[in-house]
Amino acid sequence: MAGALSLAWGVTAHRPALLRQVLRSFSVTAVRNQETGAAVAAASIDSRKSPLILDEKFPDSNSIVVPREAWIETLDTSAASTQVGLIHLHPQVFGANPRLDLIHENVTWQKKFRMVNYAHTKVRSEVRGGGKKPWPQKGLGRARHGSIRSPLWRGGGVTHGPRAYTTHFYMLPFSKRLQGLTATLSAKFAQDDLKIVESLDMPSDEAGYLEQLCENRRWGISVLFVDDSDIMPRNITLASDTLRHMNLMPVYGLNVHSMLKHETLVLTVAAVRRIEERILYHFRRPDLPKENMKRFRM
Amino acid sequence: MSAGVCSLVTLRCVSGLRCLKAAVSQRAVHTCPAALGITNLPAGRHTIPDSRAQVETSTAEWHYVERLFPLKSIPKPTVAPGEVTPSGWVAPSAKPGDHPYFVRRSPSHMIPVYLHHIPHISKYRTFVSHVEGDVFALLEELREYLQDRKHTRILNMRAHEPHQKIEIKGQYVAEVREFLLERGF
Repeated sequence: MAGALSLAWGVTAHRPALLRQVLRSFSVTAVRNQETGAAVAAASIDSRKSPLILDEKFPDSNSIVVPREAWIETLDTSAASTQVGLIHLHPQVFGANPRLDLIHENVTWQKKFRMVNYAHTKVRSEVRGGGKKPWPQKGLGRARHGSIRSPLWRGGGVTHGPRAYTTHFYMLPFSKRLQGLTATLSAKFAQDDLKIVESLDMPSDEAGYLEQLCENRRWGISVLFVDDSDIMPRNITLASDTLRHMNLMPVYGLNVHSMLKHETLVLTVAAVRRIEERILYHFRRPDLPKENMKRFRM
Repeated sequence: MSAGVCSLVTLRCVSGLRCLKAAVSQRAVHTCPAALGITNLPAGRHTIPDSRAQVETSTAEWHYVERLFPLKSIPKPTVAPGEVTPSGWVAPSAKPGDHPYFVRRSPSHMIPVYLHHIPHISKYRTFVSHVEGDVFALLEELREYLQDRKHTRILNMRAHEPHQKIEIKGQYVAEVREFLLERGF
């Protein structure tokens, strides 16, 4: 770091354009210390010999469905083992029935509620001309017409055509949005497309590292990383910055469309617990019917 | 309080801001645990009159405030499984695994049997929701039970496995509830 500092002073005196680059290297080195701190913590996890076992029993679930079990993995390929522990997932959230109808309704809603149709046609009053009666009503042996812009005429107005700025906004009932999330999470988990990681800390900030990692673990091309916090670790942010098929998302942005869009969904342990807490709260809240009756808030 | 404010205002009117500062001594922002966030506010320069400098932090009566919060979920009555409460509500006693099927209680701890009524065509349907496990086993047992009880020739019922529901044509809410209570759900 001291070497980089002296080099930076020598270079920036002559070429101010390099200043930004140097500063960037500073910030990276500064953060790398944190990341190495995280790596040290990960190493301590390896060295503590006892794997991370989060085997909650969920006695409140009161369901025939047993808690789902999943491996906890690590994004650090230098670790001794890919799997660092085991986690139990709440059966009401990750073991729900895969309601395909609700998943479809959610996807359709997400496509439609933001859609605005710009197609536009003119009615007979908006087409230019057509004010004069083209020929007298009687006496010519021709059909009676009052305007050359009538919808019957070529070049006339359009009846019941599309009119611009037609919004397709509507709100899906709250319970359906809720069940859509559990159905999608459960379907992804049942298809082995949902992975749990300890954290999103990685030892490298290169895109190739992330691509190689996902390829080695058969995660497919598109991967969605979800963390509890919306301030992501710097290395995975840099690595996924140029990869448009690997995306980061906080828990509050989780949605059905994105989960289906990506082949694999990677959740951190904190994200799993936060998702369970939020969804179970909404399932059990006493004013859920009131929430369903509410149309939407602008 | 209002008298103090009035005097401050008159002070400001008479001799301006300098006199006001003299009247109210400038002191550091109060930093008790409850007021830590006050430093994040955009205007960080607060003046607290000396008469109100002493603030006591007490959490003794906080549970009275907690009582006012809306409930996050409906609390489950603390009674033994199978016990009948004076209101007629029965605590569920069946455990997962007792039967090939399992009927969860609703979030309000009631038996999830509902009557759907379409008035203008006088159509009644009875629904059992939250049926986990073998829906069809429950359907057959329910069919036998209802036929014994109601002596109906035709029982129009179906199981909807993906939705975890059973639908019966007609009004059978009381009978289905009795059936489920017998099974301990």
